[in-house]
Amino acid sequence: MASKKMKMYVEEEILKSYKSMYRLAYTYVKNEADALDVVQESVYKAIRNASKIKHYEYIKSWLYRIVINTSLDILHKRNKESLVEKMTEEIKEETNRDLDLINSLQNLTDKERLVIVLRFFEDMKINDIAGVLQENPNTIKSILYRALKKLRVDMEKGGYKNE
Amino acid sequence: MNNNLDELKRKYEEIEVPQNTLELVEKTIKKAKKKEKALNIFKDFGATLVAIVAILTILVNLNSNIAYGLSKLPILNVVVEVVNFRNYESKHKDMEANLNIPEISVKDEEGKILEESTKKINASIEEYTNKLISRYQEEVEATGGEGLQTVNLDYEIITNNERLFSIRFNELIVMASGNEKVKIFHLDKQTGEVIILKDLFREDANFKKIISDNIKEQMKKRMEEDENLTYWIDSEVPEWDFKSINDDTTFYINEKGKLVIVFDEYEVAPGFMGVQEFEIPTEIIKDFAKDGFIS
Repeated sequence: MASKKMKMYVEEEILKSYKSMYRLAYTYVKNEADALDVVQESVYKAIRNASKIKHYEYIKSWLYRIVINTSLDILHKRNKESLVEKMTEEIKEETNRDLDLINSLQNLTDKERLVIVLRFFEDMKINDIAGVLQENPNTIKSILYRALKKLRVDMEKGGYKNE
Repeated sequence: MNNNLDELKRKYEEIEVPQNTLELVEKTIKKAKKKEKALNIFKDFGATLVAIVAILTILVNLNSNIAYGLSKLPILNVVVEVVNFRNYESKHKDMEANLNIPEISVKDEEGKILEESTKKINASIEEYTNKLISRYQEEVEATGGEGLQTVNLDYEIITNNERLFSIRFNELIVMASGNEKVKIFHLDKQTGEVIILKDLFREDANFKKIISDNIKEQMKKRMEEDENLTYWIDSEVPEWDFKSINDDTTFYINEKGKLVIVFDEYEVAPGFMGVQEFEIPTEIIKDFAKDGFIS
C-alpha cells in the first residue's frame, strides 16, 4: 500500500506548507479570494493524485508545481484576456505594498519564479530543485542566475530600494 | 543584491495568509478523500457502465444511418425557433446544477409544426442534457451530497439562416478544476434533419485529412507567434497529440460564412488554454462542400 503511505506524506506536507502555497498563489492571482481558491483546488488535486509521486523528497516541489499550474488555470478562466497581458499589466499605482514584490516577480518566467521561490524563500537546495524539475543542477544554476539578473534590473529601476 | 533578496523574502513572508486557510485546507483534504471512496464504488460498476455506453453508441449510429436515408427529401423554407425552455436546478451543500434546456419548434412556411423534425432535434438535445443531469445525480448519490461539483449549462443560437440552424451549448463542470465543453446541434433547414460535420461534405470527400492538416498548421503557427501557447502536437507524449477530426467533431459556421472547428478544453491543449477554435479557409474545402452551408 505504498500509495496510501504517500497520500499520508502528501497530507502532512500540505499541512506544513499551506501558507507557502497560499503565498505562491498570491504572487500570481493577486487577491485573497482567488489565492484561496487556488489553494483549495491544489490541495484537492494533490490528494487525488498522491499515488503518482514516486519519491518522497519530491512532494514539496511537486505541490508548488500544482499551485503554479492551478494559478495559471484560474487566471486564464477568470479573465479571458491573454496571460501575457495579465503578466505585463501595470499595477504600480496600487498602494498595497505586497504588490512591489509581486511586480518584481512578475517579469520572471514560470520556471524562473519557481526556482527563486524554492531556492530563496523555501530554502531548498539546488540539487533537490534539479531533481524535481528533472534538469541538470547546472541548468538550475543558470536559470537562477538569469532570474537574479532580471530581478536586480527591476529593483534598481523600480525604486525598490527607497522602501 | 543579497540585501535586496532578503528584503524580497521578507515581503514574501509578509503576504498575509487568511486565518481560515488551515480550516479550508483540512476540509478540502477530507473532501478529496471521500471522493476517492466514491470513485472506488464506481469502479465496481465499471462493466455495467461500459455495456450501457456501447448500446448508446449503436443507437446513435443507427439513428444517423436513418437520418442519412431520409436526407434526400427536401423540405423548403422551414422556420426554426426556440419556443420554450425548462430549467433543471438542484443544490446539495457544495454541489449545484443549473441547466437551461430549450425546446425547439420547426414549422413550415404556413406556421404548421413539422412534427418529425421538431421531435428529432428536441430528442437529440434531450439525450444530451439527460446525460449531463444523470451524471450529476450519480455524483450526488456517490458522495451522499457531500461532493464538490457545479454543473452549468447555457445555450445560444449561433446560426439561423436560410440553410442552417445551429444551437450552441456551453457546458461548464467544475469539480476540483473546471472543465469547459461545447456542444452544438445543427438542423439542416432544407431537409429538416439534424446534421453533423460530415453532412456538410459530399460523401466521397476526404474532408477529415484536409481540415486536420490545416488545423495542425494553424496550431504550429500560433505556437510560433506566441510562446505562451501550447497545443498537443509533436509533443513528448505522442498518444496525446491531436491526430484528426472526426465525422462528428464540433463545428459551427461563423458570421462570415466560414467553417469553425471547436475543441473542448483538454482535447487538443492543456487546460489553461480553454476551448479552442479554428477557422478553416473556405478555399481548401469548397470543392467538396455541399452548397449553401459555407461561403
